Amino acid sequence: MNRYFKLVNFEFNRFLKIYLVLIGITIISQIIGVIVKSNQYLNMANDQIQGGSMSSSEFINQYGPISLYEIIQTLWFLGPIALCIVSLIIYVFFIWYRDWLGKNTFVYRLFMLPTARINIYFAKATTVFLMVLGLIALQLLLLPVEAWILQWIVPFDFRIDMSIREITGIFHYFAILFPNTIVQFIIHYGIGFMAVFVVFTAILFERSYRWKGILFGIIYGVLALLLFFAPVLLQATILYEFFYPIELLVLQMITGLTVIAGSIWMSNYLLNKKIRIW
Amino acid sequence: MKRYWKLISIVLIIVLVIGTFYIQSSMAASNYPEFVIETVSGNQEEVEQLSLLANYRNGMIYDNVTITENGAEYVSEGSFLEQLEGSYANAEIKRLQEDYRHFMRGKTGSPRLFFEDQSKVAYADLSMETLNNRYKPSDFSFDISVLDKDSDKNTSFELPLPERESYNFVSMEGVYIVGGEMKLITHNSKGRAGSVEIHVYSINIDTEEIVGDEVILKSEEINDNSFLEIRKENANGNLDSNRNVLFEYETFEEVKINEWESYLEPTEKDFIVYNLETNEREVLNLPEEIRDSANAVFVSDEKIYFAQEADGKPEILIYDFDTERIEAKQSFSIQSPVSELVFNIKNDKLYITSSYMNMRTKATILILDLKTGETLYEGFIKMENPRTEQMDYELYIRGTEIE
Repeated sequence: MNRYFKLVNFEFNRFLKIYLVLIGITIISQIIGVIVKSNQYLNMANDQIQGGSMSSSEFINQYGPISLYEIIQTLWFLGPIALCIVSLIIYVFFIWYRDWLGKNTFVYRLFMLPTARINIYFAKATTVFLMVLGLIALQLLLLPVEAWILQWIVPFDFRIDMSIREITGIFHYFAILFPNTIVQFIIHYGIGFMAVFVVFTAILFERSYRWKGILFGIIYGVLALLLFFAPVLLQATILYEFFYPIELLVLQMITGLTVIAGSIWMSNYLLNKKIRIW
Repeated sequence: MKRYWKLISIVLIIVLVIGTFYIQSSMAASNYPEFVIETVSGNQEEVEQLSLLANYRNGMIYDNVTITENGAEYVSEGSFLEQLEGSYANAEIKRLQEDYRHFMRGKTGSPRLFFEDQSKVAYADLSMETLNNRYKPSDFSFDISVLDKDSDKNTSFELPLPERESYNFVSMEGVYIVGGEMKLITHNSKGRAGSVEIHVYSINIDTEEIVGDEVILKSEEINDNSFLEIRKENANGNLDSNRNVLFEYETFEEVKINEWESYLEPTEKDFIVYNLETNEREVLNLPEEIRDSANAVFVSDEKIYFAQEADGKPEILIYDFDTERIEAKQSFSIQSPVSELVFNIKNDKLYITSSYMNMRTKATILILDLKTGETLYEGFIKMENPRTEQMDYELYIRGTEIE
């Protein structure tokens, strides 16, 4: 257990610099976005009202008040989120391949540690997961700050104040990242975690059999996908509408856990018996 | 421990922030307004059985809501499991799913596909082939299932629709079992656009064959600028087990205003009753008091309930099949047109609800005793403790359910 924590800490610190850069970009870009968009809106309002073409209430009627909802849908806001997502997806691969790269293959030393090799796998998965959840927490912390900046710039009559819950509920992409209930949160991120395990296993296939391994990895991924979605596929085809929603949920949980267990077992086997260091 | 401080702090931040977010949102005051039913007069017990199914809308916010005497329940505020079960599914279907869980597997769709009486539950739907690289569906057939309640025996079979090549489209309008025989009412469209036939197929459940195919209504003498609409009147989404099926047969003529604009002028409207026991069809010879604009809101074994406007006031007329007369007439004090009211009838009680509400218009609820004509209950929907940002709401009441 102690070894596992050491490994997590090690992996975490190895990526920390890039991670802090991602956090920095997100904070700066989103806050600049709020300031820029609020000011644009206010300038437009000033032009129209001071230009004498309409009163402030006419302006609000025609252009509508501003809220975080409008600001969220700009590149200032979604850009850094997309950047973080892409970076973390690359990191899922990078976290393994970096150990094989470089002058002296670091993975050799890693595998020689007096601990079960599967701990390395768990440590890497945990690190990815912490990084993902860390960014989610960051966004949840940023939203109230951004709401506050908006309130500070735009006068009351020209804005709609929304609670964090309203913002996350109303915007579809956010509803995936911040589901309504804790149960859904566990389901969404459980599926994400499962996907990370499957990709890790596919990477280990490649690391074990190289070119042939890519094919094995892809086959493994497809099989995992088919197994996980088997209840839904059955429901849509031969057993049309056979399962009630709650039964479907339980079946999906079972297949999901099976895929996770299968991936861990497979990875353990590959790490202990098949992995190639050179 | 010291070397782990970065890791420990990120774990703490994650747990605290995400934890707070979900704890707060589960305890936070609802974003949606509370609606209650406020009694004006009458016995409050009468309204206890009533649930109003409504859509709530306020700017970008939109949700399904059920309003009862106890308050408003929004779909998106239900637990995940409640949302999963589809809390706005039809109440009759939900009850059937609870009572006959195995039989109801794989059976979806509207209540008109189901039938229930003391001894049987039945289901029939049309299956068709749509993946034939052709423009119209083909190979129509009946998918039939019957559950015998006593023996718990489940029979399922499929029957090809007679003369199925000649139809463009077929839809199921009603499923009945009368005297041990299954009757399926379908709406078949044929050949050129607008040509419609209403069929009654009789099916022997024991031998699993079609023993009768009768056309009870059809449109042939329709010219190019006329339209026909045949509607089967339903008992408000309840499973109807009537012996009488009521059809509304309405033709429209296209009247051109100018080159671009035209409107449809109703030319003829008939109510036709088909008796499932005697297989007789009758065009109702309605008394003059029932106007052309009248809606049939409910049909029972002996009576039809019509709603219409008279002198700017809505009224209900109860028409008796046997005596061919208006048995009772009742006007009531809601200041809105019939088209903006929702009707439901159960146990000789008539439930009338306004179908729309916002900050300025009031939604009234009335419960009348159809036997005595007495008003049993009067009330209205009230928004409780409205907040300013909730003021611009709209509430559409799309139906009612009575326990």
